[in-house]
Amino acid sequence: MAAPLVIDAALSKMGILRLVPHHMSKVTPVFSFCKQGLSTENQDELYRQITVEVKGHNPAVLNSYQKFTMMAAEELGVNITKIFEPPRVITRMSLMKSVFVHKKHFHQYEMRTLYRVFEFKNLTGSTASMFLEYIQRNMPEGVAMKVTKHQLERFPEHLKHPSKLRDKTEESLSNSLESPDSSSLGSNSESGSMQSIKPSSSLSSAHISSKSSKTTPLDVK
Amino acid sequence: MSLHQVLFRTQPMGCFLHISRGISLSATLAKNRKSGVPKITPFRTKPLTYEEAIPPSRMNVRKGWLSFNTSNLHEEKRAGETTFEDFLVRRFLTGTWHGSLASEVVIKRRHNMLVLSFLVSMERILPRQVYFLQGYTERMLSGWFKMPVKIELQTVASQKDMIFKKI
Repeated sequence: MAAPLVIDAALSKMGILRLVPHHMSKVTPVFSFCKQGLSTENQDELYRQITVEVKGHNPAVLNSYQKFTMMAAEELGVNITKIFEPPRVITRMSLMKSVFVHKKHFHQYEMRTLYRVFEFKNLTGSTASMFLEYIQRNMPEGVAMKVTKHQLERFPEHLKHPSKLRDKTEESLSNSLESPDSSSLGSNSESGSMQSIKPSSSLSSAHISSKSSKTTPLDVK
Repeated sequence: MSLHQVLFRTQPMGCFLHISRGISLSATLAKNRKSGVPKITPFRTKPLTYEEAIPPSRMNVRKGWLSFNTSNLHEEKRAGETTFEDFLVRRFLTGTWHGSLASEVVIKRRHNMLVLSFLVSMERILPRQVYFLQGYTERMLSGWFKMPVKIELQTVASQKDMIFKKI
């Protein structure tokens, strides 16, 4: 069976081919940040939030899909924070009843689009890709999905906090890249990355993960 | 017939028509003809399937749609191509299955896949012909549309099993 287009697009967007086992992402060390800066080749991607918006014509179908998604998320340990129903959109058309003449007589048609939004918080790339693939493969016909991912990125090294610049006024800015200041900034970011790696390893287990992700906040700075 | 009888319609008008050899072309004889509502026969001889028997006003109450896709949702693309594909599929199946289609074709679209569901009456067709036609249809349609096509069919002994009521 041909792989769904949505999944291929999503995976290519994330830049990883298939699921990366968690034990491998755990081992990719903090040390790599010292040498490579912004490379995330072996690193699993982190998502602060994934918003899934589902559209359909039939409210009963959307209700059953919501039930299915909630059950799947509970079983797989994905944290759903919010499920809500945005207001429906109705497109109306007045078309003539008769093929020829009779302009006074019209038929009224309408097309109703109903929405449902699920918000998932604090996922890793592998969890997200696996969960989204499962959800999408089991989507009923007549239902469309839009996925918005909010990814956590490393703060660029060339941008510095203004307070750090004020402390080092005697040293010139041109030397900042080679100076020990950058390494101190680097170490700050490393500690941030260490914090961020910890929850990702704990997310590999099924039921415990939802609780642990709530207690350890992901902060990369 | 006297003029008095004609004016006050005491005699049946048929004899008046015979005399004048009139042909009625007025729209009065074709009034109240709605689409999707079949005309009643005098001795209730016309058989109807469930789908034909339910009027369009009962859509989504007693009858569902025949085509399930996302093209008509708000801000979704490909409405025209989807409709044309549906039209082609229905014509192709009506012709390929040699009059043994017992129901309308239900077209479902999941991602890239086309799933066709219908009933086949085994009155004038053999099981091995059914298998061949199923494979043939799947292969031809998936070649033309460039998307995987799957057929889910069920068999019915004869067309008489499909009769819901006679009108």
